[in-house]
Amino acid sequence: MTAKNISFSTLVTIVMLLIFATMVWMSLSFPVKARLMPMIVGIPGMAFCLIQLGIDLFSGAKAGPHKAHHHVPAEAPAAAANLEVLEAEEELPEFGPHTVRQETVMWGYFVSFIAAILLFGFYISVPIMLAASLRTQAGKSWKFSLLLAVIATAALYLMFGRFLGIQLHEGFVTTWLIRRFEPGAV
Amino acid sequence: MIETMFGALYGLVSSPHIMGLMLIAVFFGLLVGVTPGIGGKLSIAMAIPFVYGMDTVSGCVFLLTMHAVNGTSGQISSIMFGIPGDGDDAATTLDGYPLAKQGQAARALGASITASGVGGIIGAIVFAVMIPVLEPVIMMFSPAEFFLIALLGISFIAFLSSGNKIVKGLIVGFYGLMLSTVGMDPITGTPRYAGDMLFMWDGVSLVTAVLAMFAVPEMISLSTKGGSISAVAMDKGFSYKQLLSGVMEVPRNWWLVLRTSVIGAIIGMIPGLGGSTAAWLCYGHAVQSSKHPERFGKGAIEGVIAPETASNGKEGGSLLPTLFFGIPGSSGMAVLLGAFLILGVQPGATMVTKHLDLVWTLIWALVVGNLIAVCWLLVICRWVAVLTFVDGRVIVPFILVFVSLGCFVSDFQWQNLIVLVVFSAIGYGFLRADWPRAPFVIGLVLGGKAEASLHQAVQLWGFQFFLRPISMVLIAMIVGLMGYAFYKNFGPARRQTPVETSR
Repeated sequence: MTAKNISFSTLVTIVMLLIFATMVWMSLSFPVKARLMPMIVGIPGMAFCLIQLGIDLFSGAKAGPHKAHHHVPAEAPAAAANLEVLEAEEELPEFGPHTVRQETVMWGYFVSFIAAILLFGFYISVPIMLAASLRTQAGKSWKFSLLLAVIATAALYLMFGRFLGIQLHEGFVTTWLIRRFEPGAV
Repeated sequence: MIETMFGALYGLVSSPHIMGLMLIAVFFGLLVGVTPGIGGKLSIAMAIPFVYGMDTVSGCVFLLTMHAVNGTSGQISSIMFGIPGDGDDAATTLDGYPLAKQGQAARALGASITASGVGGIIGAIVFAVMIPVLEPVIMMFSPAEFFLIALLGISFIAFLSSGNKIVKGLIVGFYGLMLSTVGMDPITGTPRYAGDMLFMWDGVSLVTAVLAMFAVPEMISLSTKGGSISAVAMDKGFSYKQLLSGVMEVPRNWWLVLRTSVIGAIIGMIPGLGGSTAAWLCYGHAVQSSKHPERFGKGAIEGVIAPETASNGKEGGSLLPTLFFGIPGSSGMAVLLGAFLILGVQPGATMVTKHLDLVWTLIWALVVGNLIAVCWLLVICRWVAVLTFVDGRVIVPFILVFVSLGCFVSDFQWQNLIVLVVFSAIGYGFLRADWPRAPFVIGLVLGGKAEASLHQAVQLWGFQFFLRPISMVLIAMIVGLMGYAFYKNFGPARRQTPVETSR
């Protein structure tokens, strides 16, 4: 067992073990009938995590970086197997050090998008975030990005606001501002 | 039975509302099928906000039709550019692309689209034929068996979707089961893991969990990779005469079409065996049963027909365990089952005893939806292929808008958006570590029913319910499956022949 054996997959296993352990521990405070299912599920879940940890840490075969490949059943013809070999040789791993920057950017975008919806609501966040993403990530022109963003927001409003009559989240800041500055508020 | 069967067909085709919805569903299902990065699971999850307010039949027909025709357009990029849209279409590439290189792309497309549609229809017929056979079997199952069936379903999915990573599959499946216990306990009324957060008392939103597990990780991954499916120029020599000759290849090879459709439907009935298994098995079958196997891989039209009929034929088959046992036949069906639950459809024996009309409507929806899809696609396939040139990074922000909308609209709770971010991190962890994710959905979907069945079984028979004959058969199946899986994973030979490409 060496530090080299600790892969990203091992970290995921540890996280899962912690989740199961916490949930089982919390279930101890429930009435007997209420904790039956969490126990029946949680204890084997922990056992599977420990088995997986053992496999990860003590087996020589370290889980390598994730590759995009098509598993081919034994019944498939040889031509199919050749396809897999060719793919594996030509492609870089799907994830690795070379993708960390783009992954961080995308996660930053996603979390910002959700935060923007919570604070400013759908109708303000959607056009701004769409235009920003199309411009910065897809490399489209500002004109094209803004046009697409406006069209998408208009479609969103017509579909949900008008046609389905669904009131989307307005955002905490937006609601506060509307209340703050609506006539009679002062 | 006959009256219900044809009454459902009449109800379907005589309703302009439902037929209109089916046309929309077919259109979007075909577009989604050919667009890079959006699979059947995602399209269903994204469509859920739009079925709110619809009645049960309309909503179910809309979603099922969209899901059923998804794969029909997926083969376009496989044939025209040699790039399979997903695992199901990889087998089609072997002979479809060589045909395109020989200037016969239209012939291959005509054959594959027609074969796909016919496969879907035959799959629905196989499902219909199985109903009277299965009815007495379903009625034999008690709550004890339903609890064990839930465990068996998770074991199946864990084994078949993860191949040589059985333990990881089981962890993910049990994680889904564990999350299903969040919320108000149905027996004691105790809020479990919810504390003072009222929005969690109803449990984890299924739509949010599914979107977090599949849509967000896939979108971040797609954006990380960037690019479109195809970077190859489109073939100029496309003719409708050639397309028609391709269509005629299907009746010419009717015996192969029938065999592979039935095989596909049967594979679909086994939970966890995906469309790629059906496609590859039937491709292998076509090679083995051909008098000239040397033509395969060089542009044999049977090599296009066999995988397409099988991969679409499985949709009818996979509806059977989904509706009657609550065990989704595939991860796509798991999402569909979640959507059905939201629409008020409770899978199980009542589908036969009380809602047989809905079952027949869904069967007819498969048939009619596939017919519409074939007609549309034969006309517009050339232009639909253009979608494969769309850059993934343009699509991603739009999909994320859909995801956030679906997540909010599922319960009208803003807190769901925070849950989405947290669960997406876990889902992305699974994707990045190459863990299977399908068992999670099965666990979450079946968890509530499994727990209710467990409590009922304990009340009725105590913990001796394990000793009932059918229970013991199911336990033997679980133990046998697990034993086999562990032997395959850790046995001396440690053979690695996983059968599913989807994670």
